[in-house]
Amino acid sequence: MHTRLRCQQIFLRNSQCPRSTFRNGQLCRWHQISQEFRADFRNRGQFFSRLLILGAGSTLFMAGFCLWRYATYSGTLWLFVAAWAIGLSLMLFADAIMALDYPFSLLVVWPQLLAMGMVLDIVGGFSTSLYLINHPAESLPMVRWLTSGKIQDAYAPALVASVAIIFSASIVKMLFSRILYFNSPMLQTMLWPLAIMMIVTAFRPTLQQLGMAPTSQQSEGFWMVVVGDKISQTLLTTQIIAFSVCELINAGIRRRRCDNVIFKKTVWPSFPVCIGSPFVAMLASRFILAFAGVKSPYAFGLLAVVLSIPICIITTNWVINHATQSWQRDLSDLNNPDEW
Amino acid sequence: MERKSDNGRSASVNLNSYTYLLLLGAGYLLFSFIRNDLGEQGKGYIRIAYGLQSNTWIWACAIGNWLAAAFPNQMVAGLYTRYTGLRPYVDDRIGYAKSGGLDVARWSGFLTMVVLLYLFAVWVPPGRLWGLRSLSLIIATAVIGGRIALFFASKIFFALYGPPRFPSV
Repeated sequence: MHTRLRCQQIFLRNSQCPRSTFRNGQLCRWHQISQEFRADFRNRGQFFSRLLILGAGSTLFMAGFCLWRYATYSGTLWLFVAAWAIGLSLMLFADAIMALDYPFSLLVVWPQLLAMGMVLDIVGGFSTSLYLINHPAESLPMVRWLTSGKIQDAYAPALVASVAIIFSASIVKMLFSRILYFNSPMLQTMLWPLAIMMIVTAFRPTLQQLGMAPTSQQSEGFWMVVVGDKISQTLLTTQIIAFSVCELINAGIRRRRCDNVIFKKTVWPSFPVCIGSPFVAMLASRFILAFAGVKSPYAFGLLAVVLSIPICIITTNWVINHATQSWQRDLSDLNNPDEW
Repeated sequence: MERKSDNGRSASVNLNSYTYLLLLGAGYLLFSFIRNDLGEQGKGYIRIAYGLQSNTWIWACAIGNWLAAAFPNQMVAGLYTRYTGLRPYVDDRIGYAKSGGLDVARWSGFLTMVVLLYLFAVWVPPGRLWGLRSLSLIIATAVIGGRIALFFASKIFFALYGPPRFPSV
């Protein structure tokens, strides 16, 4: 019968944590988290912990201010920012207590509080950014409270949304890797492109207002020159067909060139290759056909699929070479431990 | 793992506690609020809470209330002796601070003071409790804050040191 060991964390007076060990380690999940965070802070001294405590107090004060503004003047944005600030405050407070490495710091309530703060931070941060993307004007009272001016009014909603997105995305990464211990390359591949797309969306209306980005009519006109009226159908169909072709080519090259290890290592890096190649090919096709004066959705689709093939071959080979070199470096490091 | 006692210097408890600076910050905010509330633009909540008209007496009561909010510290210190056999401000200042005793005691007192000020300003009608309104507020802060502090401190000390094994001093 398989029995799990008890967590080896000893408290004062020789009492022991009652939880089971986590995976193959010697500690339970929460003490494992606590130990890792304490190791991060080990050399920073007590002063650093005091700074974190002051940070927690300041963000809690900020949360109180936002809640007061929400109660007094309404505005949903204040509520989301308050949730964001409370989450940050909980995180900083838990970090500060764990950093001290006192007996009180050993209690599991601190890593649990840290995890709770992270979740609140992610929910508050993404809610703030999504709300700002849809209602940019609502951030103006908040921005004008800090500063004023036309330029700030134009850029501030997108800037606040971008800060919230970047911050929340880093917290998502931390939550998965350091609390849930779920280190998936897929997450890394998906998270940052998603964050960048959100930031671009946040800035789009501002740039359109300033004449630095095309409006939806201008975007349609860009493709209409070569595709005609059925823009969305043509672009979507071309993208799907070209993606499938790229996927087949990418998998074929990897099967031929790679062993099992490199094949697995290149699964997720291949995803942007198969998505990006058709996109680049479509852009190139648009300019080539416009230069040639051809206006046909079929010609556009065919040219885009054909052009995506060499792009996919070149980028797939680059991904494989990169993965092979990195694997060889890892192997040589393992074989020569003295060089560490 | 046994913990040795650490006497430390006179201010060691405050310097080694987890959130003493934060408590001072919160105290500063509270006293700033009282000052604004007593000013010409203030709504006079504190005047209603203490049931007094003179600013001097209100300030005296507010400082007395702050001291009463520190009273739970003495009760928690007694509890610490029952768990460890050491007297916090004589034998083991740093141990007491590191066990979270000061933080639990001072925050319990402070938050009780804030909540009671709010309750007396908003829920207890003006004129009730005759001239003992301010005194009741101060005593209630010490007693209720002390009970809350003892509740949380006993949980924490039990988690750190096991059941109480020593007589109180």
